Amino acid sequence: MTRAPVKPEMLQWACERAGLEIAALAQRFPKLPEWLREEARPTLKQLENFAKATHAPFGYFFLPAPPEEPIPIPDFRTMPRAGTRRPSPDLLDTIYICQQRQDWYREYVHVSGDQPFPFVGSATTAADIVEVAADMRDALAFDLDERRRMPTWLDALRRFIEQADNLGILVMVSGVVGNNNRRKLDPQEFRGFALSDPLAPVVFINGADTRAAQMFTLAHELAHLRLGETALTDVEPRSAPNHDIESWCNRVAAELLAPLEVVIAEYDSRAPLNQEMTRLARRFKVSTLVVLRRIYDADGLTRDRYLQAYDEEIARLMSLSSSSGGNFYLTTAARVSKRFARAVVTSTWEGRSSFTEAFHLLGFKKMSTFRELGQSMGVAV
Amino acid sequence: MAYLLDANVFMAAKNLHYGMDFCPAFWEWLIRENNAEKVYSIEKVRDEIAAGDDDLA
Repeated sequence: MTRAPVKPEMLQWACERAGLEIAALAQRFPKLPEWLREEARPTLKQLENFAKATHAPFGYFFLPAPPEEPIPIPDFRTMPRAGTRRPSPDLLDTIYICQQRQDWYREYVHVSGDQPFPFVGSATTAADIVEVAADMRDALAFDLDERRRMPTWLDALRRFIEQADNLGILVMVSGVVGNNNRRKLDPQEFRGFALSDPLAPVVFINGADTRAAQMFTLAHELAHLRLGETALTDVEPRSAPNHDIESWCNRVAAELLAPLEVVIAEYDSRAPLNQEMTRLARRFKVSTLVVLRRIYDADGLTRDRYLQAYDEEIARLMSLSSSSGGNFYLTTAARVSKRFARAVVTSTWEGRSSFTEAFHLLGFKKMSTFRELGQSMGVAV
Repeated sequence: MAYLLDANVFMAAKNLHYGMDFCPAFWEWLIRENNAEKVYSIEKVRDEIAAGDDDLA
């Protein structure tokens, strides 16, 4: 049996990186303490399983020392501990796979001869927030009248994603790494990111977050694309980031969803807050969190009252479980973005991409899944 | 000279132009060349194909 020469510090590194206790891993790998003391070496199979359990790339175990793994995109997160904490394998793997999808899609669009579209990189932070937000609302065909006709704000959220997708932006919404339901993403670590590119812009939204927060995250990441900025973010409607770009994007996002002028005109300060919040959420078809922030922006609330109401609303939203079982094929398409899934399926059946690459990018292994995904999107074979 | 085949060779052949019922000659050729020690593949490729869970597996 071939045994792998692995340094103990590499095993240790993998445990720490994954946030797993050695004691807990030792239950699955009883020999782990011996490997760490260099009294025994794992077989290749054992090491492979260990790599899988710690979500570490297999090849890394043969490095002479643990690698530095910086977050590969600009980090705009504002949570106090965000900068100091080592990025989790879940976050890193999510960014990596989205970058791979983006690379693939850029090539695909390039070959099809599509032109860059003007949405990306057409604004600077010097631009007027109200104007930029209005332009974006137009480009996305996501105006107030249109939203007014929708039954609920959840329909509006779906529509919002669809419109961005139609425009050529890959909007990926997932609460897990790839399609692995055991690897849940932590909204405390990040809420989303934007990967700017003139041909293949990507927005990723952490689907483990509340739906109410997701809508704001999407608006915020779209603002980043408008600036042509790639960014990893953790903002929410209540955030008041010090950073110029974050602050600009947050204000554009809020204005895009609920224009301040209209909020001021419609807000009735004499009515009970809860009632107003619900009424305005229905009026704008946005989440109650966004409405709260806008009432505060309109000077309708003191800061203390606002933060208190916000906490209460979050607690309420968290208690409504958002366990959406749903249709597997719809979920898969939403996780990689419909536009992307359609492109990969089409290109593979045309013989332009390999099946193995398609499976890797889409995150599953079964041929029947691939067939049915295509059928569910109207790419019949 | 011997050749090592990647999983996609099998998948693309089966799903696109050399369907097993449509073009059995390709698959017979694979077996013949493998017996002649000209064409090989590896365990990892087998795992990848097995995960596909279709006729090919």
